[in-house]
Amino acid sequence: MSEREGRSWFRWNRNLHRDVGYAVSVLTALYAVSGLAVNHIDDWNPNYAISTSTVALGPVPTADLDAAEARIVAGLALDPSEVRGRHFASPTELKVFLEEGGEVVVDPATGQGFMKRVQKRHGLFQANALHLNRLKGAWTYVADAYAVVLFYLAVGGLFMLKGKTGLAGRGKWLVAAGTLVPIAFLLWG
Amino acid sequence: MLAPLALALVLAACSETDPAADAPSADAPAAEAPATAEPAPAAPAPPTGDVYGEPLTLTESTPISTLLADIDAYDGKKVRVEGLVTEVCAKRGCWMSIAGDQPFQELRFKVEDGVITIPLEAKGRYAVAEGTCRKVALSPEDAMAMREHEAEEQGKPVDTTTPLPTFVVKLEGTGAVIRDRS
Repeated sequence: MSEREGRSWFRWNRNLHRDVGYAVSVLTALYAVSGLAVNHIDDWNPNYAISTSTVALGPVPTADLDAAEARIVAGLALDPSEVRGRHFASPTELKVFLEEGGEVVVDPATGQGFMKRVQKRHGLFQANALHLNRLKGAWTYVADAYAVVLFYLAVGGLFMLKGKTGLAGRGKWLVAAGTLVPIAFLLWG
Repeated sequence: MLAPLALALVLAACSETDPAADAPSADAPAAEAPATAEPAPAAPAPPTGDVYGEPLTLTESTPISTLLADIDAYDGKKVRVEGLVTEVCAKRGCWMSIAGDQPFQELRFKVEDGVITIPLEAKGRYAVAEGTCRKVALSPEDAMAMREHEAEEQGKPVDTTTPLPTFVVKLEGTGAVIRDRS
């Protein structure tokens, strides 16, 4: 390859890298934010915000489940259409399920318990659905294509510049440093 | 002279013993069913709702009470169960509990992380789920760790009053259909 051809190839690669980078910038940002969110899943819930409050209703009748549900709905001023179901998990645990995964759990004998309200973390929920491929189906192919594009961005990025700032110059040391970090964790982590 | 007669006898014997000979051919008119015959029962309609994982393959559900009453008989077998969804893994959506047909019964439907994600909104809905039944022995340490993990996930204090279980029954889930209880 002549010097002119080489310069032309590097310029072509830079232009392609730039345009492909524009095209996947939003998805890359979404995946990055989702990656941070799910990385810390042991410390928080990246999909739902769950708030819990205590409830004290007084004794709840247990002979009739409809009456028990009605007592809880009235006592907490809930919208009856919000109720999804009810269940006796144990003699001391009556659950009434609400929309979106919320629930009221009380001990029927005392009426003491708690209410959980669930809200999706909008934006993050959707980003996680894409990142973790919860959508399945056709999104799997889009995600595969995106992975191929990311591979190109990683490898093509090595050959964007020539000279002392290129791969042959300081670039090789930065690539080596970046490669050593995961290797070190795999060996000694 | 006897050869044609012998051949005919062999062919006749074959036609008597060949079960296919009794089956009506595609061209032959179908034999009329007796007037008193019951109509063949229709195949049960497949459950409708949101599908998670692989499609269900079994057409009949085993009551959870039946399964729990004879766990050893169902250990390692593929079963289909159904009932109200009473708990869902809030963080990963990697399991749900399904209420049994008898009071205070629940069965854990566990899926591989990331393969199926059960949404938290499934709680209070009705699930028809399929998987392999497993009876898993628990050491006291494992049982305590499991209880602590569940308490943390559900935001409840750790139950220290009831005895620790010695085994757990779960369904290694392959697929589920979840719909509103109505």
